[in-house]
Amino acid sequence: MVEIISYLFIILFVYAAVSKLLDFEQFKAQIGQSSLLNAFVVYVTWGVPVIEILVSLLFFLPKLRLAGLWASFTLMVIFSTYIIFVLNFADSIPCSCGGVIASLSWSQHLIFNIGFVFLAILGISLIQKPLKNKKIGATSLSGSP
Amino acid sequence: MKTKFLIPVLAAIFAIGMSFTTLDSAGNPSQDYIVQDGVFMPLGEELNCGNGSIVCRVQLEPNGQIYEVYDSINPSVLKKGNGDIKKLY
Repeated sequence: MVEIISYLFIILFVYAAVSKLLDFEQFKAQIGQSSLLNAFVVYVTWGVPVIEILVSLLFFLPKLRLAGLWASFTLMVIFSTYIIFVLNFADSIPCSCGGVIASLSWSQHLIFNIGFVFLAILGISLIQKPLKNKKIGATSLSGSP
Repeated sequence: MKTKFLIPVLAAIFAIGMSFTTLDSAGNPSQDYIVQDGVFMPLGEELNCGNGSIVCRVQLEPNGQIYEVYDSINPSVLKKGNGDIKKLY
């Protein structure tokens, strides 16, 4: 199950990052429309795709999957927060996301992001549960006379 | 071990392929834009600039500034037409 969640995040982040980089000028122009982000256009337009690719690389190694899930959770929470800001304070800004996700409305995109937030939480809990059981097992063995 | 690394690589390749196939450089069919002070502003309508290869231009007020029209929020997607300046007033 954790593997499937990892593959989904790889697909999501690689797809989003490459889509943004392929249509870089449009992505840059769209970020410039945002009252919250237009002061940081250069950092955001380069930083977001690069971070997405780096996070996706964490899922390639089983040992780094937990870090990848935490990074994904953080990213998706940040993106969701941005969408909530747009829904409540902006007039109308086209989606600055990549590919087919751009065809979603802002509300649909928020639901999509929240879904992946829960997916990250699920993955984290699935990885951490066996780790906790291992530690408890090790503790009881070491505590026995 | 090799299989465990291969599947994420395949997932990444699949995602890269998908992003190429869903790449859409066409303009927005329902909305045109101008650039004011470096910011894209929607015109609220799709202009009919006719046929041609001359950049479509629009004027928002009498003796006002003339703007180049864009098909989408993309600096490389200028709308083309017959060269007439559209007057939106």
